[in-house]
Amino acid sequence: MRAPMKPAIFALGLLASCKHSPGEITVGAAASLKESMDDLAPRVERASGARVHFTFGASGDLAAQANHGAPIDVLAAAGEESIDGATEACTLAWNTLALVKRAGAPSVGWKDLASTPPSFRLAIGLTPQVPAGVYAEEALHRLDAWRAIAPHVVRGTNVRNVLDLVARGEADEGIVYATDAKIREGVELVALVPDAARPIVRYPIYVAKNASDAARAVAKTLCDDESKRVLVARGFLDRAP
Amino acid sequence: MSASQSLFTSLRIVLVALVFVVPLGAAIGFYLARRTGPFRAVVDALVIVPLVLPPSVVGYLLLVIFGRRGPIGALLDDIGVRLVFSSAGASIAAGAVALPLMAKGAEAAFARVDRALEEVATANGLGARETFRVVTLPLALPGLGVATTLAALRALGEFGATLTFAGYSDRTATAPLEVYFALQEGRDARALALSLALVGASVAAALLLRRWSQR
Repeated sequence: MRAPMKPAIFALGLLASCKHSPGEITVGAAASLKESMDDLAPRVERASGARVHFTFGASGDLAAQANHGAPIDVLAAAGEESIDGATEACTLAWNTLALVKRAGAPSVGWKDLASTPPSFRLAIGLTPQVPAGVYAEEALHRLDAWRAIAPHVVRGTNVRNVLDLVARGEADEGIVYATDAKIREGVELVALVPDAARPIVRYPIYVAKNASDAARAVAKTLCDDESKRVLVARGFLDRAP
Repeated sequence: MSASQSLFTSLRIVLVALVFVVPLGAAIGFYLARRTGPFRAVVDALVIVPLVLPPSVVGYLLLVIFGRRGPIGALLDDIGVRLVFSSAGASIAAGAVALPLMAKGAEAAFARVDRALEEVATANGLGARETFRVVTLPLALPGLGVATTLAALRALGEFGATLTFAGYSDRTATAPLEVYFALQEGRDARALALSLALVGASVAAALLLRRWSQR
């Protein structure tokens, strides 16, 4: 081989290594599932016999990426998403909403959200792509507080970004999942969403159209009882509240 | 928010950023072109930092400094100014990444000015300020125009630092952010329209640059 070909071959090799090989599975997961998926990853990988990559983000963003051709084989979403040709395998878990504030800051409850001071900022997820934001708006509508609080709302690009805005004090309070309320230092729970305003937060597992056997094995593992146990240990609910 | 509105938001944010970036960058560029010594080397190294850092890092550092709990952000908060989720915050993000291009461009513009011409002006009795106004500035002007255009384009194209620091809100929804979020929402037509508008702006600016650099 002539020497000048070598860099070209090397570059091609680099490109080839970027290709999605059948032995690799990509699981898209809602930002709120980060720790749970970290717990589940080893078992999921063992069960499928494939290298499993996780990508976290707002469920709507992940679904949109899948619809634009991103190779997401399995999606664990924080709400119902429509992905072309995908089928739902099971419900991974359920969750509920929580109002959180920065540690030490004055507490403004759910009922008080309709009458906040002018400088008050409430962080919720960007809609429609962040399910936590959609659920938060739903709850605020049910509490008849949406119209009053809307001008005070700032948006996080996923539920963990909402949590971050509260932790940094850029927002006074935020609406996240109950499971997010305790994981961030400097963020305190104000209250869980009142029963009357509680939306149904469900985490469906989707499997892509034409998914490989390994991808189906990943979904099967995520759907089993052991996975449920892990999710419950992380504070998720194993049935609709 | 409509697509054209985000273009206006972008334009406003860029113009506000340029009001600060152009004089500051020109001053830094003048300093770099005319001085020597260890302090100059430090300034020279520092000024390009926002250009070579990942925009997310620039955004994060801005958040640490200008966030509500940061050293400067806390002071601003006391007088009721909050930068995150405000168009001023977006201008700071855009300005931070545009400043290196303005400063380095201005340095090149001032370095190209023939010092002999300045000496002639001084020999004819003009003061330092007069010499700068009558000789240096007019000679550096095309180069400063190029630097300003590049800085404006970089500010217009700002995405990462804006999203990290200023967040996505109706006041900070610049055209680049709208392209990203329109795509995520599956509104491809809007993403495409905004993308074409940004391509148009870049081509127009490139043509402008050609004219300046041919002078």
